[in-house]
Amino acid sequence: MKNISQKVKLMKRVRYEPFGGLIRIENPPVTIYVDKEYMRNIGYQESELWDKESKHLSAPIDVHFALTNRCPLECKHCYKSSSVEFNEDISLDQIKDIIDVLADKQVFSVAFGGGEPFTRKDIFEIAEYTRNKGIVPNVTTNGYYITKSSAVKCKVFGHMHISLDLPSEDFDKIKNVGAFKAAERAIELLNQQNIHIGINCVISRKNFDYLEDLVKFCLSKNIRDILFLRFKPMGRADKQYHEMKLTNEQNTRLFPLLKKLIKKYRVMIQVDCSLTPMICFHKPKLKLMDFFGVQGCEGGNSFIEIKEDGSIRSCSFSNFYGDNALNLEEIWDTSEYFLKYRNVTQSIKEPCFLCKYSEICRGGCHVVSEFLTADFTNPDPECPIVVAYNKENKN
Amino acid sequence: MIMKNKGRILRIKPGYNPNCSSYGAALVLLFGGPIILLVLTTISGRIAKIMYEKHISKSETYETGSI
Repeated sequence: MKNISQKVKLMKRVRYEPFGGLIRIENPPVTIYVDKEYMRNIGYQESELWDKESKHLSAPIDVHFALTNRCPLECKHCYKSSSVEFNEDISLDQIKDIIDVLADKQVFSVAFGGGEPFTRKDIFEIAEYTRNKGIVPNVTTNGYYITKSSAVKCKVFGHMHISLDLPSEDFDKIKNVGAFKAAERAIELLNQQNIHIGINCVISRKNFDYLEDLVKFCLSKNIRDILFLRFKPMGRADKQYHEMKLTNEQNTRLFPLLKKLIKKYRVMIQVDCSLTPMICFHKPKLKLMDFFGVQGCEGGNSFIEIKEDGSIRSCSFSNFYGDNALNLEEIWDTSEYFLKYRNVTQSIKEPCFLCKYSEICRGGCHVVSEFLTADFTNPDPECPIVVAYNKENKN
Repeated sequence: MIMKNKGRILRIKPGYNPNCSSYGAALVLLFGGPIILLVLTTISGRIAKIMYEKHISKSETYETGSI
């Protein structure tokens, strides 16, 4: 019996892929892509996947799971248009069935979100169930429902991120009344339990000049993980998109600014995949970007989203969805939802066509392309290289 | 017991993806320097552990005849 449980444990950490395999280490958290020879060398013998000529993974690495669309804050730029009114939560049994499917596919981690996932009373049962299935449960929260007693239970999560765009009450002006207090209180309570937390910050025109203040605030709370996200035109955010999105000048300044913050404060800064064009603009070493997985759109491949009704989409910002997550096994290789994202570089246009970063950047965020140009396959119109190209071709 | 690794590491993606909406990437590694060395050293140690566990698990399997 001991042998079997040991084997199951190992299978969750190493997974076969057409190119070889993936190794997920929990501490430090890292995913390693290795070739077939490497897999053999660490004791994993031939797999039928190795005969498959597939460019996509055998399953997502991470799955984003919106457990509800209910949220007490009703932020002005919520990309899901979440509200307190929402009351059509997916049932616990359905969630467990979906987690079973993800475990069978050997998904490594699930990032629970919403809405506010802690509006669900069964959130800890869901997290426990996920962990027992060998999947790391992570969560993003606004902190509103974190109490002294719930903070203790949060140890079940692999990683928790708190949404915070500004380190003061001014955050309420961007989000909604009570947002800053909720986040600050949650940080304190989770810190008391020594739970490793990070911050999710949506960068917009309103907070761009205060990112250093945010980093200082994080350090004062002993937080070193900060994930910067691009403001996206979805949900309630689409109406304010043009006044909130970064200017071209800010987009070009972003990478040098983050570089400065990393060097000055020694913090672990991550950016979401949609900000990759703003990184590529500064021409970092292509090989380093590729090797360390700083890449553009990975929707429908490295990650997918499961909506609050159990349906699947390639990315949380996609308008394109339909199949139920329970069918993931059947649809993974062939579904149009995934192929649309995976194949987006096949029809890539200028200036991406000649850009040496296009295979990594993948043309930027195509949700933004679709919103601004009505064509999903167009290059990201906010990439500084695309902006310059369009300007030149207009003149 | 720990032999030299054959084969290639194709990519190393550090960090969890705790976010429910996007896929994050760590920027610090683009700047090179000691941090890369630290990451690679730590990872080598963890892989060695996986190899060791796999080896133990195999030995026990042969001994007991179970799967």
